[in-house]
Amino acid sequence: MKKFKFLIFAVLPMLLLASCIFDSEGDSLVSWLDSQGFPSNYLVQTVEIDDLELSSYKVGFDSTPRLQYYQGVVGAVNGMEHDWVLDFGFRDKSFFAKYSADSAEPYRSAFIALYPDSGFYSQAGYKKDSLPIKETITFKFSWIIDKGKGSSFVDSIGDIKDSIWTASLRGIWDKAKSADTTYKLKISALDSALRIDLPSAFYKDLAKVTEAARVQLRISAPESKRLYRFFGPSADVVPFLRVKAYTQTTVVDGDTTTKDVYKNIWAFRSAIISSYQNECSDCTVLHGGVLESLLVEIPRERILNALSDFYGDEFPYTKGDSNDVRQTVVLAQLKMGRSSSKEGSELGFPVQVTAASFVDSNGVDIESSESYKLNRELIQKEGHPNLVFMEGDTLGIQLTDGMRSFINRAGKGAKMRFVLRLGYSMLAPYDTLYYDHVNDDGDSVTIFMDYSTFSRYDFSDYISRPVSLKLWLATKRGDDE
Amino acid sequence: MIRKILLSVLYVTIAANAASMMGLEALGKPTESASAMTLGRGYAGGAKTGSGITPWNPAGLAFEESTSFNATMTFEENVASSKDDSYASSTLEIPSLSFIFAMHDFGTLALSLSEKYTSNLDEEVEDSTQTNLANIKYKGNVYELTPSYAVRLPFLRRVSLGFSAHFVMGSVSRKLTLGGDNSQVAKADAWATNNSEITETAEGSWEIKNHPAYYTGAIHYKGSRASYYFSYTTAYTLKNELEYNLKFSETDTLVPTKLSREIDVPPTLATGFAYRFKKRHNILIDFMLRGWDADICNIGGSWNLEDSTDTQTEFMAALGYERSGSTDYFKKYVQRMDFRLGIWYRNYYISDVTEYGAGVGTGFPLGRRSTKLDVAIQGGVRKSDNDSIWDEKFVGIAIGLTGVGNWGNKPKKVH
Repeated sequence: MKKFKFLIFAVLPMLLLASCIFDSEGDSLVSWLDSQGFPSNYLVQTVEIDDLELSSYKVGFDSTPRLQYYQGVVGAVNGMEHDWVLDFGFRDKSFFAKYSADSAEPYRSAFIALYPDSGFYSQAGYKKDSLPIKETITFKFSWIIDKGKGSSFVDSIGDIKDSIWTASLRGIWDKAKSADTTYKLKISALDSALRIDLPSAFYKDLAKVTEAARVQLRISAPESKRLYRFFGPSADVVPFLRVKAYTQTTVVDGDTTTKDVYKNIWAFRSAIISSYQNECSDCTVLHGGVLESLLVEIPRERILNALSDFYGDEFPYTKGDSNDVRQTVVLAQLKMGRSSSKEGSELGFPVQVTAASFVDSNGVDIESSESYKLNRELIQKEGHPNLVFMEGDTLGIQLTDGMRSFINRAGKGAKMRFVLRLGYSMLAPYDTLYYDHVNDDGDSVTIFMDYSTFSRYDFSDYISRPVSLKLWLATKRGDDE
Repeated sequence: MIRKILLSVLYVTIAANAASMMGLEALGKPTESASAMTLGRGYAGGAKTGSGITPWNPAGLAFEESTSFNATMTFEENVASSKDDSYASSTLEIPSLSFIFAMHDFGTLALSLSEKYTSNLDEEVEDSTQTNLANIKYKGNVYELTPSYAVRLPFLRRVSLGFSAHFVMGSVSRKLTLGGDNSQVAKADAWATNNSEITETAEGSWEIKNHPAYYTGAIHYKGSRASYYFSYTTAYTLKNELEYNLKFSETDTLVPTKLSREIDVPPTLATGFAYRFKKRHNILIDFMLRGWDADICNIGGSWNLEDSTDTQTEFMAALGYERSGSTDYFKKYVQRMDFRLGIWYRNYYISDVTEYGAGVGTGFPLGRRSTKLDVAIQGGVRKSDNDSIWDEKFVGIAIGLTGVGNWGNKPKKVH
């Protein structure tokens, strides 16, 4: 028995030891992979398609009001007008009783307090010496006042879903009352509120309320010289209505003193309504900050013919389930001309042109934001290529995900379409790090502004001219193909 | 003791992650789901009864006397080499699990889960000339769930018939991750491939086309000295539905390409002979033949890989010896032990690949019942004339545990 135990315990370790002695080198596996026909990396090749005339390009604008909790904008800029709608809901029976009973109507008053968005103005480079901002401005106020009773009325206002509310804002203003107010705007300090008196017709309507009210107040300034930004209902300081409830008179020791008693009503949500002022209908213009996009289609035959010429294979691929996996797109970049003018940049900064393309998701086309890969050498010299209001004559748009999906499904009739939009203002266009950071000098570098920019870029002169497309392709074809 | 052995093997195999590198693109390495007992005899012994489930002879089960359970685990170290290059890899597998229910006059029922083919490779390599990373991973098994029934003929008690149905299952995957090769890209354009690792995956499952299973029928004769069997296994078509992806990240949403490959597995003929002498000594001879006539479509193709794997007539010839241990508990332990040895020569299903090897094994009885621990050590060589198939040397150990239960046993006679 002992002999056999010895045998087992001698043979086993020897066998296991032998397994460790066998030599194995990484290079040997590479050699084995090679002998099987496996690559140790994939081959990248580039294909360039010049003089490419785009099949179609069309701007689409969605005028649906946009919910804005943190910032409101009022004014007009770059051919568009932006109005701010504030939603108020409140119940105060005693206030309305006193407010309505006040016989001295002329003494009624109400104003709205709006706080400039100091975060925006500071990031946009407004310093103390840029202030004050002055303008005599005509505000147009439009309002819809709904009366109700009980706390359930106020609750029901809060229960209205944001999307339903914003959709409803399209058609309700025909029945709204409105009045203009001329206001001498002066922003001397970014931390103080603007107090804009509301028109008397507004007080009259408010006096008809007995217990609870919902007020939807639209503020417009179509003639303004610029767009003003204010803190919204979810910011630290929120816009509010301040309505004089009554004047309290007290007599103490024969001296009569009067004191106005106000009620403050805070807006609980807000939305922006944007509209064109005088946009030329034949132009291909994109506006930033709004729901506007430029839908472009590249002729599929040009891409497929170029691939066919390059690989000598048939494109599109229609064998099996028609998914073309013979190669894949590592990167695709479209180049078109670019204006170097800063005209149309709201704040004077370069603005990013963002791309989204239509990619396949389980058999269905979905719009997906394109990824953006950094060409650091180029960025250091010429800045990011996907900016407008920037020096240089070439706009570079990466369309990698869309092109990958298009070539993969070209056999099923896929089209190469993509969407361009104006994105955020870029504060550090030559910085090769694509995220906020502290540089070698110890300074904080913010790459993008945190706020939408309401710029206007005219593609008309460039998109109608031939563009060029460059594809970086990873091929799976072997050496013998 | 058993625990120590198991722990030792497990400890060494922690770093093990590759099996034979042959047939990875086709079906993988054939394992024949052999138990440690069969491996100790060099794959011979199909005609020897009392050895549990053997690969090709379900009819032999009719002579099983007890209800038992068997599990086998194998550890194999493999060195593939070509000219000056060699690559060592190892694998740990459980090729077979089986239950046998002996019902004596009513025959024997058996159920086994066995591995027929395995492909297993997981390696990351750095190409020193390109400083790029390649990661390759094969993972695949063709498993079979096999119920068997065998019964001795009522009048010719020395003859038995056996049938098996083989329900095939399993999965296969190949995953290859590669970095970019910019040798054909202008320097100014090289930025585009930064952080662009591409991953190619093909994964899918195995099943039999248009049928739930394939079948084996066998006839066995057990003489007082000579025993033999003959079996026939039906042809079948293995179907492998694959999803193929080529992507840069998990967020790539391209629909996987559907691929399907069908592998026509031809019928198998097997026969074996066992001769018993001096009561407990056995000479064992087995032969298996499977005439492949169609090439096997490879898993993913592309790159410079071949689209198919050429096949050849597959066969195995095995010669073995076993000295069976005494079942008398009061005999010396050595006399109660089994000793086995065997040699085999085989043609793989892969064209030009031959294998020859030898095995030795021992069965250690545990306790009063027939519970047993079987250990087998086998080693050999796989050779090919094809340059793309590297020759391999292998050495392995198999450990099998056979547990015997009371269920269905005849009551012991009281003297």
